[in-house]
Amino acid sequence: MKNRKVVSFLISLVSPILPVGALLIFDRLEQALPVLITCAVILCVVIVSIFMLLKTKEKSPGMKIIGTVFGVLGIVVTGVIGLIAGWTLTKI
Amino acid sequence: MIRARFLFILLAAVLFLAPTGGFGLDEAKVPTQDEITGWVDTICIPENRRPGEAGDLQAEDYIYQKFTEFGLVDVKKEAVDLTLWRAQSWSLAAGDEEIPSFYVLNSGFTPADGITGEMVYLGDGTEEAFKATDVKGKIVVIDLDFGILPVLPLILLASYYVYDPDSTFLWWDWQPATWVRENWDAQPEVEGVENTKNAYNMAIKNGAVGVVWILKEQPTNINSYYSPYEGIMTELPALYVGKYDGEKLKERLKNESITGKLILVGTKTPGVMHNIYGILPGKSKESFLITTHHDAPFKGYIEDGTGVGTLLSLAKYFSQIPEGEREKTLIFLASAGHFYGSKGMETWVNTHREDYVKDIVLNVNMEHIVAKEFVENDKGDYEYSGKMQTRGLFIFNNNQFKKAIQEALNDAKLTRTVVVAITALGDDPPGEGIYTNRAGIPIIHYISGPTYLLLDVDTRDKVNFDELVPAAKMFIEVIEKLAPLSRGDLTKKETEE
Repeated sequence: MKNRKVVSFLISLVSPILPVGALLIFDRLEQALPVLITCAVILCVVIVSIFMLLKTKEKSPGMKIIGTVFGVLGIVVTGVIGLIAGWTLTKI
Repeated sequence: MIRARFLFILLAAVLFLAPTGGFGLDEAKVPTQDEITGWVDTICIPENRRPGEAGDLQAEDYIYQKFTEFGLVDVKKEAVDLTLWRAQSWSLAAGDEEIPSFYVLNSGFTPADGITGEMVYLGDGTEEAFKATDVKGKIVVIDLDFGILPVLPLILLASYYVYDPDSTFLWWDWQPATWVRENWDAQPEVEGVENTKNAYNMAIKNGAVGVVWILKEQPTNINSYYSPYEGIMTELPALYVGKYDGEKLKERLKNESITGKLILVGTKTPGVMHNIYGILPGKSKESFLITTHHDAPFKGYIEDGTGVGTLLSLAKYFSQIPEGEREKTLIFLASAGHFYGSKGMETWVNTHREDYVKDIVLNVNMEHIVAKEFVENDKGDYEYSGKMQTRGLFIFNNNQFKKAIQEALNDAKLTRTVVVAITALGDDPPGEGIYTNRAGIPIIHYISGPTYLLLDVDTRDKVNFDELVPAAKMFIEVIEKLAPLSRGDLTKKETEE
């Protein structure tokens, strides 16, 4: 249970840079589809991670708050990059 | 029997259309690569083709001669007046050190022994910087800021079609738009409106005696930046210095007070340049105007030797098509004075409103054709990136345009081309298309923006000669596909996707 919480926290923590990593790996505009798919996967994983974090019962809420904030930030960044990738798909 | 005849006609149609996928380009009539290269090389022999200068007058005569040779009718050479601004000598010294420099076109002249003054660095030359520093009697040193051209927003916000089969565009691709001076909007000031984006004018108003522009965003240390070219004469002497020379100067100015000496000696005399045009009559009086400009700051292989080469290719090709098979009348115009505020094009459109312009239903404008992309390498020199310069095809929203261009691009394989809305970069397209656009003429405007356009390194190595014929074929295909359409079909369509 504790391990799961730590993993969820770490995923949320790095989630804002995951879609940026996807852009670096699939760096061509023509690779908008892999970027879009990766963003969709990241979104699912981060949302699940946030739920896992919120479900844990801890006296010290630090990890939960920081993880949730970073997770939400990750969702926003991933969402924006996913939208741009999707938009690009309609243009190329 | 009827069925057999139908099958025979169908078979004949398929055989006829098969080699070109439905488009009947006559390969034998297209000028060869060697022929077009020869025209481009001839145009680019002089060291420069500045408006009204000998090299440009020579180019005008050559184009006139070629139009006549191809059998165009009513070939004309129409004079356009200008002020010939010529720099004879220039130099910049900061204390005892001589700094390599280049003149600012159409700026003021100094006495033969120059002007001296304390040099003050004002960053980007903002209004605040001028308020904070007393520049009266001084030489101001300002960083010149260029606009930037990011590829992704252009594609997302304004493109209709992207042709990049080799997947070369990166998410973060961008380039400096070296023809856009962010802090030096040289358009004439509107009376009563302070132009705070014009650091040069603020230097004049605050009593500076000279300006040194640092080409901070120009790749390499080259200083031969031929600009601003709006054709507006100004009074304050000014020089450019290259990026790295400028950095050294700024470093010195941080630590010491330096007296500068700026010399810019030259002449201003009346001159003349010429629009060259000729006509190929067609079945209809409705006309297509096919244009480029013939002047250039230096040798101008890309600006716009290849444009002239393509114009001549089209003129030669269509001159071999019988008049009865040309759907539209074709007017070929090599305009003068792109580097004088596009005065040639403006004059032609204004002069010919009643005889030609009223019948023009499309302007195909071609600039900076087949340009290679050059970037700055680790040593600070220009180097071929291995890619073509990104090219823009600016068009009105019209599905017939889009379809014809998409098919032609696919046939010609002109990679890294983005077909965008005519308004993608502002109310007017960049380049010579401004005045036809303002006259309400539908336009297909092909242009690329390499960073070496305004420099003395716009030389032969910047041209991808292998693409000269495909580029010509692309324009031929577009023209032939659009020629049967009526004026109404060629206008902007608000409702089309």
